[in-house]
Amino acid sequence: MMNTEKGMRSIWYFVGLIMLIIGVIVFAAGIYELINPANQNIKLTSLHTNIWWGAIITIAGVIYTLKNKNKYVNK
Amino acid sequence: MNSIPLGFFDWAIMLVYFAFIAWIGFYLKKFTKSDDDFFLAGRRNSMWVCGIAFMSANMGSMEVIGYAGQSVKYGLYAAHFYLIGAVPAMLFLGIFMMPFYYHSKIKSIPGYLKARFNESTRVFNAGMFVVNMILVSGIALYLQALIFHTFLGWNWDLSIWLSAAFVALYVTLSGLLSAMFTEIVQFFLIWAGILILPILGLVDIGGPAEISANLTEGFKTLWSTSGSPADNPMYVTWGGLVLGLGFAIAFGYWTTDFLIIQRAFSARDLRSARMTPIIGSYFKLLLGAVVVSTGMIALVLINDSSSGFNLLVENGKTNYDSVLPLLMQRYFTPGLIGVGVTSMIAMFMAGMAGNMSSFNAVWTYDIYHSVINKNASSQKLLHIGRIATVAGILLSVAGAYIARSMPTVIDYLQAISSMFLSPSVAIIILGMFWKFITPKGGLWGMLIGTIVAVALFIAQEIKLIPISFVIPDFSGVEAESYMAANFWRAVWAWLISMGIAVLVSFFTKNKTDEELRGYIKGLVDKNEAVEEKAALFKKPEFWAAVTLVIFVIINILLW
Repeated sequence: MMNTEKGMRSIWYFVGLIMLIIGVIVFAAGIYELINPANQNIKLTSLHTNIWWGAIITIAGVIYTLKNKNKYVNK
Repeated sequence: MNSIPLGFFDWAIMLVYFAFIAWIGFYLKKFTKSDDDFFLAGRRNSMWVCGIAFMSANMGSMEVIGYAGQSVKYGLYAAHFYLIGAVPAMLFLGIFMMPFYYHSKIKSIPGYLKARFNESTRVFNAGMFVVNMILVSGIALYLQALIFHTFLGWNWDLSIWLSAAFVALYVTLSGLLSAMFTEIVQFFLIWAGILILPILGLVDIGGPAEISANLTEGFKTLWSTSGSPADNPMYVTWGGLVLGLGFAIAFGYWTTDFLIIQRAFSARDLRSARMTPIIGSYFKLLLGAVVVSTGMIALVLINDSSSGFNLLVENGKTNYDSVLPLLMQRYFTPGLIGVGVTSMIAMFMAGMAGNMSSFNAVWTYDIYHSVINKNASSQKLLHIGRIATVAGILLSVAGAYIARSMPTVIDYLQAISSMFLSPSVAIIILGMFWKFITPKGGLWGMLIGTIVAVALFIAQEIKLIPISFVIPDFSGVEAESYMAANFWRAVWAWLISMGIAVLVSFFTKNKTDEELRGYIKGLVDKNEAVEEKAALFKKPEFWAAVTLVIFVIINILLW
């Protein structure tokens, strides 16, 4: 999968990938919390920030990953 | 009890982060084949890569966690660190100084001083940089320990030593190429963790108008209360802010600190190098908006006894630096808290990796190779660099304990800057723009300026002199004038360095024009003096002017 002959992968690909993974986890945490509300002393839980913020991070991650999937920096 | 239980999703995010950073390091190892790859990331990076890495190296824990604490202590006055204390110096670096740095193909700032002045100036500056870096790393280490202490409930000693061990492992594995890659990844993670915080805070307190309604004049304006030190929470006047913070300290950090400028040296061409700090200035303004508004939201919450929000108090002393972790604890639900903690770890990693990689480079090349062992082989230098990493981190642990004893870490940081950076900037700027300054003038100016600044600081700490000794417009309140003393100490160090440099230059021999060509204004190589023709919106000057306009508007609106 990692082909060094093509050169080094673009940094933006890595940025996209980690945003995508983390965004999905945050979003999943939000969905889980919706089903099993956490009994903690946290403010503004009714806003379900983890759902929409997780979704925003995921979308940004998808865009960066797909846009830079085939970009390499030649050495 | 301040610790909170991190859930499955939070641990998963942290695990993904560490695995990802390790994977990048491993992936990049095979592309790092030369010295240039290791120390200058191959000099092939775009302006966006350099600009973001430049800003990321600056976005260490102290810039975010520390300045959020400053905003609680000083209100809107903390925004000066992002405005007058950053923007003019960043633009000056991009527009006027970068051409000399970039064209001279130097690998470090002490390297420039050797070319412009002499070997002694280089070694002295490298020595100051090394001491400065250790002390600054101590702050970063302390702040990382604060996160473990607050979120995981670990004791201070364990937190500091564990953070140090992790950094030792991480930094010894990476050169500048992987450091810059991870810095960029971390840059986005940091934003993912902090951008949401002021939004939630504003919803909680009822909107921006509540900040204005709940704070006194001195806490919510930038300049209108700076006429008299007693009228504002920083106990400083506009003179101290402009001369001390805006010039002596800001120019010292942004135009001569190798840690951040090293990123611009890795640019693929001059335009990219010049755009690096200018791109950074936009992110700096945005960071200031997020960090300062977060701190001011905390201030409103603290003033409202029904909010139930208070900062950590240890041994009767308020810990201002606990504001960001505690606000995350207040608002962040599962998953988000994982992003929040990871973003704080990323701040630490980005700052610390930068500190240690620049420390290694300067120690190995500008001190060890230049003074101790001039004939060292490449393998020997690599070995020394690794030993220096471990030694540097052990010394940083000592710095962390000093930082913990200070009122807030930024007070400590500005004290360090006033002693070590302002004499450097005085000599570098003087030497870069005035041919008259001789090598001995540069050396003695830097030496005497630093000695005076350190002596003033020590005398103040051991109560040999009152704090009012360095502050010409003293407020009368000693306990609250620590920051004003930092600003004015930097001004004195800067003035003394310049004065001595000029005086000594009258009586000592200068270098020839040929020796100085390429290193000072007015003596640039003909080939390099040709400016590329570019459309207006591609010119660094255009984007610097846009930042400047935004900077002026912000200062007027928040006057």
